[in-house]
Amino acid sequence: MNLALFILSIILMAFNLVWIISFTPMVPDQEWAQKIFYLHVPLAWVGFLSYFVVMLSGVSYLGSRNLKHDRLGHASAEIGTLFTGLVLITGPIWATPIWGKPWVWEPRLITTLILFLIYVGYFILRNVGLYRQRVALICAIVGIIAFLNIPIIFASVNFWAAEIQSHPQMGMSKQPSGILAPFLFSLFAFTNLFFTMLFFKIRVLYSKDKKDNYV
Amino acid sequence: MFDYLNYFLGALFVVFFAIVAWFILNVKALKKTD
Repeated sequence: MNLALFILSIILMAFNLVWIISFTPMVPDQEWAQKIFYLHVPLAWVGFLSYFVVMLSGVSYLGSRNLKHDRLGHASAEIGTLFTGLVLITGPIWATPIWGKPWVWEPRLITTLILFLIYVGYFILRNVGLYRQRVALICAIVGIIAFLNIPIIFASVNFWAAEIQSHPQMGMSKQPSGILAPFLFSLFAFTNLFFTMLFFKIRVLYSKDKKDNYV
Repeated sequence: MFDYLNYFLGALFVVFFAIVAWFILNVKALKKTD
């Protein structure tokens, strides 16, 4: 099952890459830089999805105190943090030629950075040497609280005054035709990759817990 | 035609390198415990 999912992920990502490079339209003024959008936005989406899974598994852990929910949360948080980190790297790569500078202190960037830093804290907590069940309990609570930041990131372009926003808005209708289909496909390919990574990481964590006699 | 191609390739490299590195590290972790 996992191997089939892994092979499917490779095929989807290869197809995704070919589509992005060869068959997506060039946007005037941005040219190749705009194609970063096909990586950047799906990465952000998967990052948010994984933090949603962390929140759900946190709630499940608090209800059941079963370590399998903690493993799910841990696996999802790791992938989410990797992807959010990639969002924070690919964003400035796009912004350097388009905005003329890699970073501006505007709401969506700041709230995303805060989310990333909260999860850096989450992994520090996981490694401070508390006993296993205590770590699981604290991380479940942190995972639930950290998720509150996600709606703030989504709404950040509306929360604060328009003049301090330099972020492109979400209106896909303003984009040239031919962008939507590859964008949705890229979302699908990255979501599939997320589930592949998630199942694999859960297996790694299960195996570690088994070795440490927690299972 | 090739405007900003280097930025796109840079972003692509970072994303794929990070994901492949993640898989390699986790395969190693699995081998240690399995």
